[in-house]
Amino acid sequence: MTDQSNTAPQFSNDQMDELLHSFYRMEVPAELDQLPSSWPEVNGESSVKAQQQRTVTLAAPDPQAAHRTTSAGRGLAVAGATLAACLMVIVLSTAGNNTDNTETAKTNNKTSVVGDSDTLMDVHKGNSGKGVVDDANTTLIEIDGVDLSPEQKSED
Amino acid sequence: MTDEPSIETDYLDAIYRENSRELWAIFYSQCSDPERAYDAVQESFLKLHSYKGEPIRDPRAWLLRVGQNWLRDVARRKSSSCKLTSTLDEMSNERFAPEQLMASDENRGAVRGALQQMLEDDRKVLVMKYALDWSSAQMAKVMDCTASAVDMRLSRARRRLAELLEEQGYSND
Repeated sequence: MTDQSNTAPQFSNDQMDELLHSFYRMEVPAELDQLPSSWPEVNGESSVKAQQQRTVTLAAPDPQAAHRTTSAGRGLAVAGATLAACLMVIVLSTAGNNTDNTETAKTNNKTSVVGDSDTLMDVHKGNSGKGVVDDANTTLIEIDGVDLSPEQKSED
Repeated sequence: MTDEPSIETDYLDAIYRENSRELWAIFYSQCSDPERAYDAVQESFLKLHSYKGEPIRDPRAWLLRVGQNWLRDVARRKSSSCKLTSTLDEMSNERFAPEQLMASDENRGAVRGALQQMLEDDRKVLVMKYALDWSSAQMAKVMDCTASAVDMRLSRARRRLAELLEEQGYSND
C-alpha cells in the first residue's frame, strides 16, 4: 500500500460505472450468442456429416499409397512365411536330436549298469570261499587240497 | 435428412434465448471465469437436450441447478483455477482509462481477482447490472428481495470494489 493510494480520492460512481461496463463487456464471451442448434453436439446432422467426411477421407487413400501398402504387405507375408518355415525346421531338428540323445543316454546307462553289475558279480565270486577259479570248475579249496609233493614211486 | 432444426432443437433455442445470458451471469458470479461460466451454460443445455426423464416444469431452475453442479464438480477437481488469478499490483498507479485498461487481459484478471474477494451476492448484482443491463426490479425478482435492497447491495458492491482497487494503489487520477 502506498501513500498515494491512501490520499487518492475515491472512485466516483460514474467512474466505477464506466470501469464495470468496460470490464463486463469484454468478459461476456462472443460464443454466448450462438444458439444450441448451431452447436455440433446438438446438431446431430452436422456431426454425422463431419464423421462421414472423416470416414470418406480415411476410406479413400491415394492409389499409390494403396499399392505401396499392398506390396509391402506381400513382402511381409512372404518374409513371415519363410521365417516360420525356418523356425519349424529348426524346432523339428532340435526335437529329433534331443530324442536321439535321450535314447543314446538311456542305452549308455543300461550298458554301464550291466557292466558294473557283471564286474561286481565277478569280484564277489572271486572273494567268496567257494569261487570257481578256472574253466574246469576247480575251487580254491580243491586247489589247497592238492598235494604238490612229487609222487614217490614205491620200489616195492 | 433436412437442414431444418427439429422441434426439440427449436424448443432448446427458445429456452436458450430466454435464459442463457442470465445463467452465464450467475455462473460467472460464482466462478469469476468467463469461459468456465460459458462452459457451464453449454453443459446445462446439452444435458437438457439429452434429457429423457419426467417433464421439466421450470427449465430455468433445472438449468441453473445442472450448471451449478457442474461448476462445483469442476471446482472440486481443479480447485486452484477458481482462486484469484492475479493481484492488483500489476495495475498499480496506472492512469484511469477504463476502455484501455480493460483491453488488457492482465488488468481484467486483476479486476476478477478483486471481485473474487467480494461476496457472491455482490458479484451477482454487479454482473446482472453491468453485463446484462438488468434493472433493479429484474434483479430483485431473481434474487428474491426488494428493488431498494438490490440498489443498496449494488451501491455497496461498487464501493467495495473501488476500495479493493485503491488498496492496490489503483487511483482515479
